[in-house]
Amino acid sequence: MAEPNQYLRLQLQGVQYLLPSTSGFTIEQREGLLANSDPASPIVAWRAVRNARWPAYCLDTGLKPARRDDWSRAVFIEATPHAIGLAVDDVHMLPRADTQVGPFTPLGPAPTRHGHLFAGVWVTGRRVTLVFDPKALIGYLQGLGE
Amino acid sequence: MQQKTAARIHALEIPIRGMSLLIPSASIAEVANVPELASIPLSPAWVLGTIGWRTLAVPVVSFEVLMGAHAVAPAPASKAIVFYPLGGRREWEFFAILSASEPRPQAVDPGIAIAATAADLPDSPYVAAGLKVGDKLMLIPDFAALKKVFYP
Repeated sequence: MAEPNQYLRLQLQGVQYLLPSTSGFTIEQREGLLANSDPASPIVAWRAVRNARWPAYCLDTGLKPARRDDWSRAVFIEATPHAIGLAVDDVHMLPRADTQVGPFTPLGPAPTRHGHLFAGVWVTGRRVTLVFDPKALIGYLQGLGE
Repeated sequence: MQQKTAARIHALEIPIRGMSLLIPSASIAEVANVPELASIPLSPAWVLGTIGWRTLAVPVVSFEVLMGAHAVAPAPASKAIVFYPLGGRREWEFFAILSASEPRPQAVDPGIAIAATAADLPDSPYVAAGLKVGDKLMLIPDFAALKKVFYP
């Protein structure tokens, strides 16, 4: 079980981000998901659950919806009314002692009504890893539609 | 007879594409190299990315893009001019402006510098004033306007 201050390291098209584990999540292999064949849809796959299905979105390096084939898993973040997925190249849970996340305020207007997508940063030397704000990320993904 | 002597203003001249900015030295925390900019997705075009500086991530801004020009990637000679946080902002909210090359110290003598007229200045809300030193025009950013666009 994830500790409150643990982070998931997500890799999207070679770029790494952190997601606080407090948001609650499940990780699914691509093979376990139903592919969405509609090329006009930003949803690349669905996770079937009982009488419902949860969407998974694929994003490019600019975090814009993209149809690409190089993802291996989807991270489904707990949300209301249902979990919402983000397709990733790779995902790892980072040991608690490994990460030192500090504050970060992106400049300019927030891209979602829930605020900026990033609320923290992990700096190691010159390497910068942005930390998602789970609420804003969920709001952003939900805003992408079907 | 006693003469008033105006104090020299210690500033940095920051070369940006096609013009120069004049910034009081006291507002600058450091001039840093630009090793590699990490992209901040969904940011405005004037945010070029961020650099790791000390233990912080410092967003790097293109003043040229704020003034309406196209963005240009950092060159090997480029520097990130790291500014202290703007008034009223949190102590870790440093930001940087990308300069085209190494900034130059300028001790501005108010007796020699001439205030630029409106006709000399670019039409931009982010330029508060300008100074002409010799034949050179240096623009002074409007930090209040920058604060509004940075933190709307």
